[in-house]
Amino acid sequence: MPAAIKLQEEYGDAIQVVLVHSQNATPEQAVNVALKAKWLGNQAIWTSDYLFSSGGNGLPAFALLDAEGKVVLKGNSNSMKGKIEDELERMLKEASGAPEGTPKAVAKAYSEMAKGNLAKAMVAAEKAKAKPGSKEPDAVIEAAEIALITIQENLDSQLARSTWMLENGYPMDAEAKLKTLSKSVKGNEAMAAKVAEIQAKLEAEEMQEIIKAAKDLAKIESKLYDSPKDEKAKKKLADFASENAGNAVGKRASKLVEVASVVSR
Amino acid sequence: MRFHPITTAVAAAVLSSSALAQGGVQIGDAPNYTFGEKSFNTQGVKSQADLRGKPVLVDFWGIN
Repeated sequence: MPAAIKLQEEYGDAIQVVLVHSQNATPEQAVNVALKAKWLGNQAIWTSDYLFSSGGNGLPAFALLDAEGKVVLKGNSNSMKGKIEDELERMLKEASGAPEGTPKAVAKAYSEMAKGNLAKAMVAAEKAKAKPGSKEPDAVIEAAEIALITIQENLDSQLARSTWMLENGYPMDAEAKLKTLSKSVKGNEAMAAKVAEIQAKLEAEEMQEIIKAAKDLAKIESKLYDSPKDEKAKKKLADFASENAGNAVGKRASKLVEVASVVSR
Repeated sequence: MRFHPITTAVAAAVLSSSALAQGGVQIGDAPNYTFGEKSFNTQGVKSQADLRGKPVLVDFWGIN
């Protein structure tokens, strides 16, 4: 198993691993290799899109980006495996997510955001803006305003992802995300209202059939990820996809059918 | 210390051309990227903006 996938499984939601296939194969062929190797079933994203150039010589290569999206380490994935782990540990321990040079008064907003407490982050940023202190007040106010925008963007991004999950056949993932978000925004009425609005969609009657289908697909996926050559599981998946052709879960299943049915090169 | 926007833009252009000349991202770069429809298991992540706040390990691999 590539070290990157192991790291995704080890750290879960705290990090994101993106596997970029960068040789001559279709996206389905690339994911089919991952399926057969039993590398699926975690949170890693697989793509054959050109994201950016690693700039390295040969594969496997990597780029490790920090919470702000800046490259902090790059090189050969195999020879630098230990360094990647050390750097990840350091980032997760130390990073508050505050941009460099953030005044101390505003840094709390970022550390609360990093802990997943958006309502508390908002309070900290608003407090810093209202009482910037006598030392460089303009800089504190400016930084606090940037923090407020960042917090709002963070919430909007998570809400957009939850909505995407609901509309694209991942209702259980949406439910888990919204549950976490609910805690995160507790105490901020405006934020809580936005979360509740999406939660209501999840609880709607017409969504219950989708939730049941998603649970059924999860069982088939689990079987297929454990036994990728199991023809029965493949057939079950194909049947499920055609039975659910009209809904988002069926669309998800069809995508997996395409991956599972790739004939080895 | 504040940077003049034009100075920053020129510096970014120089950085960008230098990165290109050296054939890829450099330490300190913040690459913009998006995931297309064919990407697998994105769970609604559309671009690097959706991943802000957590470390991202981009691993380039090949079948052969």
